[in-house]
Amino acid sequence: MSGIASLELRGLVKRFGGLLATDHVSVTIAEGELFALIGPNGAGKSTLIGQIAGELMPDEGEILIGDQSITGWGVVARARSGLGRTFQIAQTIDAFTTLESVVLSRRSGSLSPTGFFAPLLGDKEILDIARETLNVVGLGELTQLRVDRLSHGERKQLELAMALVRQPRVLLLDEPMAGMSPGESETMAQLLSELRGKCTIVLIEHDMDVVFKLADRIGVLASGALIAIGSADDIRNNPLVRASYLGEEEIT
Amino acid sequence: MTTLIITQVLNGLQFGLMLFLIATGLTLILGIMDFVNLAHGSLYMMGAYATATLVAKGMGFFPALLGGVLATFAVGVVIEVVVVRKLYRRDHLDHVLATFGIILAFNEVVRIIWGPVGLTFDPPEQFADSVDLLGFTYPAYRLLVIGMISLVGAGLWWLVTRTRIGMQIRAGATHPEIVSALGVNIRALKTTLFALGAALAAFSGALIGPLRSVQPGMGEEVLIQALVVIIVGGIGAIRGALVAGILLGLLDTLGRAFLPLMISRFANPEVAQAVGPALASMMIYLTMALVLVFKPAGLLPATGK
Repeated sequence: MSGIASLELRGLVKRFGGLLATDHVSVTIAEGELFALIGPNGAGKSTLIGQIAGELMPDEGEILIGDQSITGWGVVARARSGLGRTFQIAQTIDAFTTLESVVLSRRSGSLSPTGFFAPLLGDKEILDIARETLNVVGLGELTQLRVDRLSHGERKQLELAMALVRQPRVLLLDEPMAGMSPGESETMAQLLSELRGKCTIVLIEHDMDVVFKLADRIGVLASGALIAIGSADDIRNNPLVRASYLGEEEIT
Repeated sequence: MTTLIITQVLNGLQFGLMLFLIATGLTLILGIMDFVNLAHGSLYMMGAYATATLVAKGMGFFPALLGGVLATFAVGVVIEVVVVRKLYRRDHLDHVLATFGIILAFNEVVRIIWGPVGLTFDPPEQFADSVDLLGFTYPAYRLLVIGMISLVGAGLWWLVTRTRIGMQIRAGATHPEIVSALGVNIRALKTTLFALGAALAAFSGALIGPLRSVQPGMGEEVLIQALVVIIVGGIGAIRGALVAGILLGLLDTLGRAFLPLMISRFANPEVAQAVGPALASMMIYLTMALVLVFKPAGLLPATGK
């Protein structure tokens, strides 16, 4: 279960009525690759993410983690098979401390019946792993703080810690910098660059500077289709990409 | 007089803890799953009947109690899977209609199986008598009830606030997306919580069995009182249910014992005899009305979900 794995999308199609929200998307994201997905608003990023996460089922096509097809699987089964994720709007649990959140994340998904009734914070080994992970994301000093006292940026960091502590084989990051202050963004960018190579990452992010700096490859989504895949330079110089972004924002 | 007061306070405490235990299953299901379960009283009745039947078959009180609770847990699982699960996304009116249907069905089934006449069963032998308590006597079984509910209440608090399943249940209620993304099966979690509520109701029903008679419809009266406890304590709050349960239990019991006496001080005995009990039985509802006016969220609402 541990270790990292590739993520492969094969000819994914998703229709909403007459709208083709995902238009035959195929891409293989290699083990340890940081793959960024960009595209103007309404390009179908959320729909594609939903299909990878298991919230939406594709109408056609296949999704594989490593050699394993997970196409028909639900959210829970995908999580158990090693898919980790963060959300566009940080999903953290106000009433818990940061440490409790991370421990809960680490221990969830295990099915041992006795474990259910064990005290959450009873296992020292897991506590150490959780503290270490909080350290990694920069929350090492705040283990006893209740989540509702955290700043927006810290919540995003916590969410990342909750995903990382499960040692995901594939990690889905849905706009990790959304709504962050410049300082917070920088911390997060630093963190992501440290994760490079340790984890297969799909990154959705509006901050183009970060995307161009961090991503091994970038995929550009427009009207549901992947219109370009390539390195930062390839994408910058691609006329098709420029055209699809017209009126959106300048790609520098 | 002092003895009478102490006895009545203990009675009130015992009744209050009982109310707490019944209300707590209801309040967890309402607060965490946002589901209105009117059938809670029926599960209470089910626990009482199952335990009474096992005792009648010659089982000891405690094994029968455990059997009754486990049987009702299983019934809770079935009800959740067959009926309740389909209703979470609907509004409260649908919850009320469906679970009211379950009440009617349960009462009828109980009449068919056990007949319209109530059952009775005895407390465990070791607790059948009264004990000497600092110079006055008190039924040992009522003390046992106070002790057992305190233990179960403490265990429940620990389960919900400290254990992994409790944390998952609380997290899953407010943040189902993230909890699913962590690989937790929310559906199974909800089934477990519903069945846990059923088991708590059954436990109260079984405990009350030796004190009152076990009969069809016994769940409805208690359901109303439990709803009052929830409203007074604050929806979803175990602590609130504890405080409100004890408060209302004391008010009700002491009111019934002493209001007629107090009224007779300044009115003629006939009036006191008429007004006293009537006023006493209204006490908990009056309290609820006051709480609704001055603290609509309840005395100790659940904080920071």
